[in-house]
Amino acid sequence: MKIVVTAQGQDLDAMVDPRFGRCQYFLFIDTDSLSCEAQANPGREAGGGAGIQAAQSVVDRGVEAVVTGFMGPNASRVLQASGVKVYGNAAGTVRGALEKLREGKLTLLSGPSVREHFGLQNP
Amino acid sequence: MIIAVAGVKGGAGKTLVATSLAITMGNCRFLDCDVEEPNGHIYLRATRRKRERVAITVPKAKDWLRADLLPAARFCPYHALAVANGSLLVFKELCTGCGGCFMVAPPHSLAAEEHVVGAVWTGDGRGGIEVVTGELVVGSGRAVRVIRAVKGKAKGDRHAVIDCPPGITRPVFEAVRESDRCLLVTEDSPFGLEDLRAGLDGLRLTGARLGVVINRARGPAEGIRTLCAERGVPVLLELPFSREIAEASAGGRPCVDVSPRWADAFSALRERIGADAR
Ligand code: SF4
Repeated sequence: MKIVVTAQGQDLDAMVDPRFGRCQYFLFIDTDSLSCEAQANPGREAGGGAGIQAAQSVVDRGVEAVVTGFMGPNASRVLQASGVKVYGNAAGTVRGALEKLREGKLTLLSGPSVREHFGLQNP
Repeated sequence: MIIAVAGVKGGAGKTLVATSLAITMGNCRFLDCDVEEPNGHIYLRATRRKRERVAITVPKAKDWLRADLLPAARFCPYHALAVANGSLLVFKELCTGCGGCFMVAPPHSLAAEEHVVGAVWTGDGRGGIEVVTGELVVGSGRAVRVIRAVKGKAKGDRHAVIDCPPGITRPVFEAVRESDRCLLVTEDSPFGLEDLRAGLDGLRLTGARLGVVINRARGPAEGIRTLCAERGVPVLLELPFSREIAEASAGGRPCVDVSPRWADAFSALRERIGADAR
């Protein structure tokens, strides 16, 4: 399965970035082969609409699921409309989060888990 | 003549100054650009005559066309658009109505939709003052649009007094733009000095002739006077810390009604500004 994890660094040992729209990196990961490709988040420096821009860039890569800490309403709307699953409450290392995902211990979100501007207010 | 009244921060007393100045001038036009909390009409006892909507044009997809709207979504400088599963999502609160997506999208693939961001009221207040009040739809974030609509009501037939939004922010520059005069109201407090300096240096860029009003003065306000002298900006009026004025303000009564002393002070202010009766 092709997924994306929000991260503070560029490999599997990096910490999960709890913010979605304003995360530092997206790690595009194939959960079978554990191959991993990092991409700087284009929404990070956006004045407004960071979540939307970030979600669009993720959707364009055709991932099936997103693993992150918290998700705001705008990004959530884009991902829901695209049929991308969102797993929240991830923390610790990316590797650890993948483990939890495999064990079914991450929360599947059906909507936003925080209000807009959460990422801006919690840098 | 157009006189804008700004305050270095919220609560400095700019509405107090703007309304009392308007009453002193009489027969003028009061343009309330404090669009998040317009309350000048209370002090001017205005009735409301006419309401006009302020709207921006936002895009709406004609989904049945199946046009490729991804380039338009990528273009939007405000990230108000996304394409999910082939359909366009429009985040109206982020759209500024710049119109760019209409040019980038394939011809006729987007419909135009009105998105109301505020309203402008016109009414009549005491002393023949025409009161124009801008109201922003909470959360729409399009203060500048509403301010522009309010200022569109200014005409050469009367002097205008503009009540700006509080503090020195982007919408304040829109409110002050093209004014002949800008009065900056500041409180006499040691903490306000930095804000006043920044305010004067910022507002200077608008080209309006600046003047300072000291409110709630508790002493000689030396810091403010020194700063104003340095910047070559006159102190045009000084109101003392007064319980009477504060109570009147809280009760929706303008400062000039409190005592003849303040009515005279505002007459002097009007003369110094050079806004003679019309
Ligand atoms: S009008 Fe401008 S701000 Fe609004 S969606 Fe189109 S490009 Fe974006």
